[in-house]
Amino acid sequence: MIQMHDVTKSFDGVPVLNGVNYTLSHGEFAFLRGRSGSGKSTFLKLLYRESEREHGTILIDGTAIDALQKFELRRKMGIIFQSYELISQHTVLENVLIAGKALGRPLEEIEAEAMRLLTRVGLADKVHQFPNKLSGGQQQRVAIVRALLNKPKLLLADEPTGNLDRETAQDIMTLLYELHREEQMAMLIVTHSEELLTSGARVSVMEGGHIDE
Amino acid sequence: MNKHQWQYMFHDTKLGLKRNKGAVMASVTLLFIALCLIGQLLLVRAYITEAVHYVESQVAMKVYVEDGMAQEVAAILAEQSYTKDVNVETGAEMIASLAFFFEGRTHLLESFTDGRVPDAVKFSVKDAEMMQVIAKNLEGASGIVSVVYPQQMAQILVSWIETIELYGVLVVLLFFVVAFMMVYSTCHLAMYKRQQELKVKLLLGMNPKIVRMQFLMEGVVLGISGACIAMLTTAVSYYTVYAGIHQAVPYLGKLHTMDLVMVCSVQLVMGVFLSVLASYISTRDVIADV
Repeated sequence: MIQMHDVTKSFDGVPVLNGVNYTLSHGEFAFLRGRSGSGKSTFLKLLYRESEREHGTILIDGTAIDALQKFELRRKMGIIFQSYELISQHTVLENVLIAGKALGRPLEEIEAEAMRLLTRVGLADKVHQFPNKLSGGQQQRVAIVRALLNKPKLLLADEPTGNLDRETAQDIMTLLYELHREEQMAMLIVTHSEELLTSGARVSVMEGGHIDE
Repeated sequence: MNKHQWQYMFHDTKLGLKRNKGAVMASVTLLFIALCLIGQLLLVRAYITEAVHYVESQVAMKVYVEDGMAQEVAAILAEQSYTKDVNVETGAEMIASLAFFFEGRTHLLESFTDGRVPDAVKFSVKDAEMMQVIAKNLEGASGIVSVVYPQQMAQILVSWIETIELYGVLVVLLFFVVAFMMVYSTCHLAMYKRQQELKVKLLLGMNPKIVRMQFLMEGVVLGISGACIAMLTTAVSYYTVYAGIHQAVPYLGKLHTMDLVMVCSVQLVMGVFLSVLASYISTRDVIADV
């Protein structure tokens, strides 16, 4: 699903990623762990081109990411952000539907799918609320539903539990693992916390600009 | 773009305007003020145009000639070294140019048309200081009935008019720039608040063209709204203030319905252009960065 070869990225001359090689197979669930500032988020941003690499190649589902326009590339994946990135002026349902509207899917279709997923994560009664009325865990669930709406083959999660307490974080991780099994997608979760690692899942470690397995 | 994306774009535009009422009110108000000022400047300019044209046409030496001599005298004067330009004004044309001064007082104008008004040759000279000498030389020449030339005051008036016209254009341009800066600042502030919305839509794979189009459409709505209020104010001032002035001082100027239509059209086009340009520039950097 992801093939990254000899990728380099630096900021102001300081190398953050130094010849990184990484692969993620279709349907695989994996963690990328590392301390704060090790370049984990930068690694993810290169995958969806919020940042551009200086050297190396990146393939998503067999296609070089440069061969696609940014918006075409981002439609192939779901992204979950540490800060949720929910639009404060949109309701829960409106936030989720944005993902479907981006692809021009019919409204009835995406509304039905959104309600199914929101019910699955326990937020069916919150659909008309605004994000500021929800807890951190609830907001992250909305973000997860939004990322899954278009049934992507790849889900990227950047510190999805970074702003949550331990118990809620554990709930979110459990939810992500369950959804991974239900939706059969590749999932790459970036985290600095060792406690949240799911047993049996592949764990890679980012250190010194390299990834060690 | 498929039909669903068009629908979503219109829907998001409506939602964006509805949920950002403060920014909308500020933008529309600023646009209205700027367009109102520009509209009034243009109306005043149109109002005094006929009076200005008449004054300008009189700042030339006039040689009244005997019947049938106008073309011949004009040809001779055109060859003189002191002549800048020459044209013939018949008696009927002269009366027609005075007509607007006598609006509402046609009985006075009729007294002119009853009498004989000779044809005249109007010409301007290269050196205004030589006017008196040239006039003296022409008086008494064969075929010439009388010579009239503008007094110094009329020349000063024309010089003022030319200066005011130039500064008037600069003032309108300045207002345009100020209006753009005001609208741009307001749009930019509003956009700062909605950066997150823009960024999220782009990160979720929405086509940047569609995202931009939503905000441009919001700009169009703001522009039309501000322009409509300005056009309404302009029309009210046209039918009340200018009509009242014209009744009291009819020879000062006159407005035609086409002037109002032209000014309103300029306000509409400028309003839409200003707000769309401001929206475009405000969104450009955010879209490029994500």
